[in-house]
Amino acid sequence: MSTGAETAWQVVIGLEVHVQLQTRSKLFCAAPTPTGDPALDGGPNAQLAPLCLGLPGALPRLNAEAVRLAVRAGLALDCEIAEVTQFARKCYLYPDLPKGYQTSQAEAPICRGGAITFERDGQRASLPLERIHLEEDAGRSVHDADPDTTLVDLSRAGVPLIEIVSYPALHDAGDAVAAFSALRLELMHRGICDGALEQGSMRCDANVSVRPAGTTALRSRCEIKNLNSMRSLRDAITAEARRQVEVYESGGKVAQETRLWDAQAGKTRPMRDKEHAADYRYAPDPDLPLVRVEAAYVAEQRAALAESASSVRQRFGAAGVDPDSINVLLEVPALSQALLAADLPAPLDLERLVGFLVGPLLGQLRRDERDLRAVAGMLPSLTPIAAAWRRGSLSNQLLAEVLRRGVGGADALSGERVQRALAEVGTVDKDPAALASVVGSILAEFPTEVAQYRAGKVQVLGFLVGQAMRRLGGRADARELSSALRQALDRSP
Amino acid sequence: MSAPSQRGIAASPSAYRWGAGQLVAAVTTGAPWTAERVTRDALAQAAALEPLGAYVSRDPARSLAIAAEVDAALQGGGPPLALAGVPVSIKDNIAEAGQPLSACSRMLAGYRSPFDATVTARLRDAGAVPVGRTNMDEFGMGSSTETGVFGPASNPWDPTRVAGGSSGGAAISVATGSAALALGTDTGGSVRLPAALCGVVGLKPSYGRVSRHGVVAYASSLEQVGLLARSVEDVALGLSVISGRCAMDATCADAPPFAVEEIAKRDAAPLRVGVPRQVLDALRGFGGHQGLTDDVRQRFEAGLIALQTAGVDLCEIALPDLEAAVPTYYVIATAEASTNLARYDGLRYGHRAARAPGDDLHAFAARSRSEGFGAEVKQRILLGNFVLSAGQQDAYYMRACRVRARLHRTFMAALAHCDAVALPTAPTTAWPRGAHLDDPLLLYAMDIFTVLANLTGAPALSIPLAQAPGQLPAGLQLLGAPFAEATLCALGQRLEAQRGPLPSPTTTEFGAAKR
Repeated sequence: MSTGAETAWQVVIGLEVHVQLQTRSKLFCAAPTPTGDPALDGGPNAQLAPLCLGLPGALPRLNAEAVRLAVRAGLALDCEIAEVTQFARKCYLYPDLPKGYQTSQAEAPICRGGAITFERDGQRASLPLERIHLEEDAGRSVHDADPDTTLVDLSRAGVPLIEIVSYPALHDAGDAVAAFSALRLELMHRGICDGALEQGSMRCDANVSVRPAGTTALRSRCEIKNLNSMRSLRDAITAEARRQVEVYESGGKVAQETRLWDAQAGKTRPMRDKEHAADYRYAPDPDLPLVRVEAAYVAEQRAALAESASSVRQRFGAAGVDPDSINVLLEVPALSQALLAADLPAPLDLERLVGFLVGPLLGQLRRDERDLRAVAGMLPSLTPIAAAWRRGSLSNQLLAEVLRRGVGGADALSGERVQRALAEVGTVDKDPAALASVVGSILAEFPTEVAQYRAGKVQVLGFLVGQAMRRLGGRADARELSSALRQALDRSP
Repeated sequence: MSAPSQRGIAASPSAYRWGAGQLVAAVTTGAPWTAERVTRDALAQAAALEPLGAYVSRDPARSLAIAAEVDAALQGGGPPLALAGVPVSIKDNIAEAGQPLSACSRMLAGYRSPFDATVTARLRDAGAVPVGRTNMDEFGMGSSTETGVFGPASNPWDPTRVAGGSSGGAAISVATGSAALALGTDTGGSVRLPAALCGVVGLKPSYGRVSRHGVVAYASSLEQVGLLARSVEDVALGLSVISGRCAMDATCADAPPFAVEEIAKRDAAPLRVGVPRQVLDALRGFGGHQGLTDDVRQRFEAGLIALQTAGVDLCEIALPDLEAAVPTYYVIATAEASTNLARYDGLRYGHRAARAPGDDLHAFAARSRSEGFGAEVKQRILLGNFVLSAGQQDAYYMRACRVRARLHRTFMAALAHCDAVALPTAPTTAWPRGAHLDDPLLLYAMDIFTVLANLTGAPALSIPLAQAPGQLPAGLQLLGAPFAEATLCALGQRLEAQRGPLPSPTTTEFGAAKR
């Protein structure tokens, strides 16, 4: 602030997000994609094929599932899908880049345009996208395990990524977080990415520049690499914008460069590596033919697209589910989808079901003072209960019992525990003969109520259903039972 | 089994000059001929002719073990094998599981491939017996088989001359009978040029006809695995074994294997060959080159007359822009080479420089590459990086791609008037060893007639022309439409029939060829 007059500055933010696609094998070879769990992956350098090692004579072949997921990502984000897309070689030297080039896309990316829609102060906002392209991941370099050696793990080399590149159209670190967060949920719900930030499934780079408020020309930008949590994204943008303002206000110039976020120091620093200054010498990859994306194929993918995260949120909200529970449910797309797909008779039932499922866990976590987000890790165990509910295998009574045994109490929640509870409690009896026989005996046993019903007091039905359900030990589908009773009652005596 | 004579030819009876079909028939019938006996003869021939530098690595025990397996399979009543007991040589840039794979570069000295190339696996499945890995220019970058780390190869007709390249070792192996069939690779003429200079048949298949999986890449959009043999019939048989769709190579066409029966069908139809006479003269003076020599020109014309005598119609065609083919080829080939060879950094395998104090990654990799690559390879990597660099890409690489597309159009237009185009394979016969090594443009000009097939993806077949006593071999090349190998083979067989049998290289001088 060397000058007396205080300038108002506007920050300009663009995002580049690398997203790991949920495929079983790598982008250009048959090696399995690592899970991120060292125990499952068999340690470093265990998941390799000749291509991921860059061996002489190894050739790439495109993984169709990766193309499918990239197209679905494009459709989910309202992009234009290219009719013809092409791969290119991006050349640079690095120990974790075994072929000496990364197979990526340059001139002809698979998607162009589109936008990430997100909420800001309850209002819908959107971040326009420039493009989405497919590319392979590099390996992993570990610089700090040994003082004078860099260790390289190539298991990740060749894992399929899409890079989602936005225009520099945001002006607030909070918006960047909201957009990134909305993108993450959207990609999770569309089945494109598992959204596991801590495992690097999504890595966000932020392009940050500042300019005097009211001006439109873009100034030099800095790219901050690998912001892998919402907090680091927000803090890094804030700190970098402050740094640039200070540079300008002390009469300096901001150099266009790649920077890293140092969370402990709370500031960004220039990347030591000269890699970003290289001439990548992009050229079409002659080993990979042009890929034609037929209109019929795109239509097929559009039809197969799972429900969007924002629609899921809306439906839970409309059912009266509280926002905390919705946020938790959105973390587990399979559970949300199972719950929403259940053919529930009334909105209240969904709320109650969510309350049953999520409530005890939330309560327990609050009591244990654990991070509410930890519930996300437990929720997949609940998917079988929701699925059983959806199939109509559980009555309210059986559901309550499953929840008591499988979820309630202080015991840790696990997949096995839930499965055991489901097995012990059993399912509703779908045998129509058994149902008919109970209906017959109920009609004989409660002549007064039957007469009342037939005289027009239809609310008696609820009482009769309850009696029948008790007789069946809860092993009936309430709707089937109720309709069977109604039919019997409506029949002339 | 008789010991090889001093003169290099195994004592009679020997099958070392038999064709592949004849060998298969003999070995399949059984005693006295077995795959093992044929293999012993081939190995003896290879050992006796070691000074020519055809092979860079051989494992006789392995070859004999493979031959024994073939014999056992045949005796066990297994299915007939298309190449039962046929000795084959493999160019040193084509992978065989467990065998050295160096592309004759110091960069890959000692490297062994953990997997088979599709073509070598298919040869083995068909009962062929690999007898050794053949010499080549480093990474296929050359026209003379003089730049490999294991030393130069010599022409079996005159060991003071080059064998041609880059598949020089492959050409020598079939010319001298240590193999009946050879696998080479052809990026800009590397199968056809040595075939012409050594007097054997060389086929570059259509792009996409044969899998490149397991082939050390030089210029991926240009190269194909090709075949060399002593007859058109044998390269056709070889092609029927190695061709066809391959899931490991995305550029391999989704087409069935080549069927030799197609040749007779093509032969039944009238055939017309187009001759671009204009370009034969227009190329005089290119790169300081003397152009087509009178000797080759006269023999080429005699070859055309032989075709005509065999009932082939000849017509004049135009091939405009052919003079642009060599510069276009070298821009595209070096661009692709610069990225294909980027993986050789000394970090995971291959030549690795001693680590010096204060080395950073770039210094270390640069030293490993400087030590590992020879001068020609370095030159092409530098050229390739230049033509792809940010400031130059439009002027060189993008422009070359456009010229390539135009050459493709003019070539396809020429084929509207004929079934195949005839050109000399090389402008000269074999030149003295070492003669042009310091003049790269002159060596590049040797590719003047061959690169068109690589730029257009067309199949091309080089057939030896008649050779009088005292003459060196020369070849006539036929280029066809993509996947028209059968037409080329039909024409080639007519030319062979008119020409008659060729002389064999005199072997008495071989001992004098010092490497």
